[in-house]
Amino acid sequence: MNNWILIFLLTSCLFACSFSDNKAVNTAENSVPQKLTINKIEKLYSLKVMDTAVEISVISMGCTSASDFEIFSDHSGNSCAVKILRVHPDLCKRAPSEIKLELLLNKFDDCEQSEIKVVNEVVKAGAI
Amino acid sequence: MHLPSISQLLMTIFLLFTFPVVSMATLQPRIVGGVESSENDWPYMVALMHKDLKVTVNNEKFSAIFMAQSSAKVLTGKLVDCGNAFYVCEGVEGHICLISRGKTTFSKKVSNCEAGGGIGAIVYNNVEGIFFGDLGFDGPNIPVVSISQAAGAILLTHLDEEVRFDYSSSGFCGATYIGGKWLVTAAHCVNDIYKGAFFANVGGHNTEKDKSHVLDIAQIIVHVNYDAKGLGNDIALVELVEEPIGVKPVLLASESILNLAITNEAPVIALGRGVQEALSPSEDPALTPGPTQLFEVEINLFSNATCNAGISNYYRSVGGSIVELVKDDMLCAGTQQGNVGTCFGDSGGPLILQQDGQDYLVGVTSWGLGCAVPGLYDTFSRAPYFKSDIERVTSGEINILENFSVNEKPNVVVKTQETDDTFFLSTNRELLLLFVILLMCRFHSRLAFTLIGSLK
Repeated sequence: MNNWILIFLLTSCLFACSFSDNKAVNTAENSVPQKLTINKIEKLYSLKVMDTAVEISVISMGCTSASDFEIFSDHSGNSCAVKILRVHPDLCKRAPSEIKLELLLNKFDDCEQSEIKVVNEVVKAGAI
Repeated sequence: MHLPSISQLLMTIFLLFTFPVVSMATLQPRIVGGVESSENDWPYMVALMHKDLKVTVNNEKFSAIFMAQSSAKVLTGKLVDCGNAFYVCEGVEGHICLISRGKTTFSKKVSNCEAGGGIGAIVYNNVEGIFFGDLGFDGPNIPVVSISQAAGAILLTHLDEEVRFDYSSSGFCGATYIGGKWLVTAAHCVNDIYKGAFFANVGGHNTEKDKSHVLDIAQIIVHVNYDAKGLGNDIALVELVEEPIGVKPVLLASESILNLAITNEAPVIALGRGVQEALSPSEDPALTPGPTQLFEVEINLFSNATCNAGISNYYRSVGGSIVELVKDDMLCAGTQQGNVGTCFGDSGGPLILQQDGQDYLVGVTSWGLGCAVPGLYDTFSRAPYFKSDIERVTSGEINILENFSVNEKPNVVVKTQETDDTFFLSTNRELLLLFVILLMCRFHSRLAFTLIGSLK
């Protein structure tokens, strides 16, 4: 029953949205970037490499999510060096805490059948 | 004490950004909180504290998590095995049920414990690790915790012994008491946490000693347009289970009072228990707790344009371009020379304007580039911007409204085989919430597609 209600609601929403004024977020009059971007090799507090993903622990001040990170790979020989970069800083001011995130590896076809080595520093919680 | 020149500081910041492993000894440590507050000066200041829950049996402690919608009470009782609790548990009257995960919903399991007279339940995992369960809105009323499979195996060897749910606490954010049962805080403080995982210490100066008004949380209401990436609408309301009697609330400032104060670059006071040393934007904070006592610092209001210019100057100095991060729903305060300001752990706390003998809440600590960095200012959610919406909620005019949504299922909740397939639509209340949000898509098409994407 609930599924039918869900379909009805989503259809209503799509219908409504199709008539909305789809203003671009970054219009010409508002072209100054609204978000910071960085490229920082993130310090990891735990690391687990799985077949299709890596599970990492990082420090969050309340505004960190998996989408803040990008993974870059460098394939040479039998190994594949993987670098986890933070591309959006966490500027929030909640007390620092360790959070676990899962980052998908599926876009790195060149790492297939290679040993994956994550180059980021992995430190124990509490260490600076 | 030697203080470095501006040029030395700028060079240090540049080096820290470029080479993050540079020693931080070149930056002078600063008491970001200013000075310790006097007791009773800030009765409306609230500390939000995590509950670090443990299940203890025979002096062995196991990490546990209160399930969402569970009563979050400290509890002691005899441990009784209830299997998978598919049927009503027998012989559990006045005791705590030990239940294995699987076969049926958490709600049904715990209801079967409660129906047998159980006063609490422990559900252990059927795979490795701990998990976060959800009892649903119409679920049972007894305290329920989840533990790991390994902890469950050990507890099975301690049946008929006394078991205890207990927790220690640590502060993670501030908040401000605004009257009735209501607190205002930053959305990022409570967006990914559920109500049973924390409590509020209202008005206590030292959270270790002063516990006159320690209260559990009834509900969390997060601004529906909160944007963790753009840092916009970073505001939330927290309803306490009961009103803290005798505590004086703060008044929400009006836009006119605030605008005049900004024009005059008026002094304001930031309150918090955050980190007390300066950090450049590229430095990682340590995982050490902040002070338990309340600190205050006097800073000045500045226009958003001044604030954006400071951020752009900094960002350009490290190879970036102009950015415009501070928007209409935000507010800036600080000092040009840095050295003081808010830091990690201060989020959600108040920025107070004192005028004509009256305290006004003008801002809620939100974000900033580093802590107390010269040329950069702290950014706060602009309280007057949200004043009318806040007052509509706290006056009871509306429960679920256009601009706020009830956060009773935090982001960390994962769908499990025990919960309904219609995870987002388990109750009529959520259906209503979703409908309101989706209708807003008429005006916020990007949000619509995000929501639709998350439902796939």
